Amino acid sequence: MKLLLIIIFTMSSFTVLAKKSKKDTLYLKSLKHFQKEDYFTALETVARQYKYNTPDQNMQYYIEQLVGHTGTHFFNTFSDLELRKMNIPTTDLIMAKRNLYLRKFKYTHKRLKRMPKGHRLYAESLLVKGTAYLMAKKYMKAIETYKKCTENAFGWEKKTDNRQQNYFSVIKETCIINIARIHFKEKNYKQAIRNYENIPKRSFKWPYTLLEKAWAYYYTGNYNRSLGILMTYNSPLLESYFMPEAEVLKALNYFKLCLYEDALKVVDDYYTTFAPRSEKLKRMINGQGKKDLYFFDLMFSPISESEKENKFLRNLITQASKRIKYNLDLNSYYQMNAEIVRANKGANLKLLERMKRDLKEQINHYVKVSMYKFINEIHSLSTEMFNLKLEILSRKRDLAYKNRTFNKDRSRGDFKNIKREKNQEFWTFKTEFWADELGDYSLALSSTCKTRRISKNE
Amino acid sequence: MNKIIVLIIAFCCTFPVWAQKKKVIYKYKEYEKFDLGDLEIKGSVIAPGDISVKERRRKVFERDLLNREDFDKKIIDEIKFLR
Repeated sequence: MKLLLIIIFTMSSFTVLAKKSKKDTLYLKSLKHFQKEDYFTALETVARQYKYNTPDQNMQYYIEQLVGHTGTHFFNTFSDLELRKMNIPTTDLIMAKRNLYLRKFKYTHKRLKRMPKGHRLYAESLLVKGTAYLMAKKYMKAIETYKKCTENAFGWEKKTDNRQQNYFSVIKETCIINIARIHFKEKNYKQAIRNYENIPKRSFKWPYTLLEKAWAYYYTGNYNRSLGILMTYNSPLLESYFMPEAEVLKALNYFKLCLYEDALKVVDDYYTTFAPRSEKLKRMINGQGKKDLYFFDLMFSPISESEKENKFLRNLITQASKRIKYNLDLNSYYQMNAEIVRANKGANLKLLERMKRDLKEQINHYVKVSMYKFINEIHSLSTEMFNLKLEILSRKRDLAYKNRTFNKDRSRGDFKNIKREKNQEFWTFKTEFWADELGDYSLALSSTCKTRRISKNE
Repeated sequence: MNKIIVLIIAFCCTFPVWAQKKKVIYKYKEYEKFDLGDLEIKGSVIAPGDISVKERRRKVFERDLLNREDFDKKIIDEIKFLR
C-alpha cells in the first residue's frame, strides 16, 4: 500500500514538473521573440498557456508588458472565464467594461477594485467606474470618480507624448464632459455649460461638445446663444462635423422664438439636402458594402475621391479616423505588418496573418457600425423634423382661425437681445469665421411670440 | 284608580282641540286694472342680433417635440470607441 502511494506521489510530482518545465520553455521562447520586438508572437506564445489557469505574478507582469506593445484587442475574443483566469489589470478592465454594457454594476466595481493606481489603464478604469456610478444614478460618487479620472489622466498626459498623450488627453476630456453631462441630466444647465467650457477648442472632443452646450442653452431659454453655437458647424474648419441633431435643435430654437418661417426653412433643407444625401449613402453602402473589407479599404481612399462619391462619406471617414479606437487598432495593425515583413526566425507567420485579418475585420466592422448609426440617426430625426413641421403648421392655422398675427414683424434682431455673461466678450460677425471666436457666437433675434388681432384694414 | 285618572286627562285634552276650530271665510280676488302704457321697465333693451356665444375653449394638442433628457447612450458609446 505504501509503495503504491509513493509511486502515485512520484508520478504526480513528475507531471507537475513536466508542466512547469513546459511553461518555462514557452516563456523562454516568448522572451526571445520579445527581445526581437516580435511582441505579437511573444504574446501568443505565452498567453494561450493561461486560458485555464492563472499565471504567477512574474508572468502576469510580463504579459502586461507585452500588452503595452500590442494593445488589448488580442483579448477581445477571450471568454469571460478565460479573462478571469488571466487575472491581470488589462483583462480586469475588459471584463469590467463587459459588465458595464450588461448593466451589472456590482461586478464592474468588483473587477476594477484591484486596478493598481500607478497602472497606465488606471485613468480609463476610473472612467468606467464613474460611468457605472452614473448608470446606477449615484451622481455624487460619479462626479467624484470622474474628477479623480481627470487628475490621473492629466498626470499621464504631461509625462507622455504623441499617440499616448493623445489617448490620455481624450480620457481626461471625456471625464470632464461626463461631469457636464451629469449636471445636464440633473437639469443644472448653467453648471453643465461651465464644465463644457473646460474643453479646449483645439481638442478632438470639442466639436462634439458644441451640440450638447447648445442643448443646455436651449433649456435655459437662451435660444439666441444656442443658435449661435450651432452656427459654428457652418464654419469651414468644422465642415466634417455634420450632426443631424444640430439641425433639429436649430429648427427647435427658431420655433421657440416663434420664427416659424426660419424653422420651416431648416426643416425643408433637411428634407431636400440632407435626407436625400443620406439615402444616396445608404444605397452606395448597400451596393458596395458586401465587398470583403469594403469599409476598411474606404478608410485609406483619398479624401477627394470619397468626397466626390458622397459628402457625408468624407465626413464620416474624417470623424472615424480621429477616434482613439481606430488609431490604437491601426497602430497594432502596422506593428503586426512590420513583424510579418521582418519575418524573424521562429515567427509564426500563419498566425500573424490570421491575427492581421482579424484586426482588419474589427476595424471594418467598427467603421461600418459608425456609418450605419449615422444613416439611422438621419432617418430617425427626420420623424422629429416632420413632427415639428406639423406643429408649426398647426400653430399657424390656430392663429389664422383666431384672426391674429404676431405682434412684431420678423426682423434680424437687436443687440439688446444678446444675453452675456461677465466673461463673454462682444464682437460683431462680419461673415468671417475666426478660429478663436468659434463656438462663442450668439444671434440677436427677437422673440415674436406676442400676438395681436388683425385689423380690418390689413 | 289609575284608569280613571287617565280617562279624566284624555277628556280634558279633547276640549281645547274643539275650541280651536274656526269658521273659514273664502274671499275671491277683486278686479284689478293694469295701465299697460304706464308700465316702465328698467334696464337696457338688447336687440336679438347682439346675442353671442362665448368662444369655445379650444383644446391645444401639442406634439411631442425632440427632448434631450441625457447623454447616457453617448457616454457608453464613447467607452466602446476607446478600444
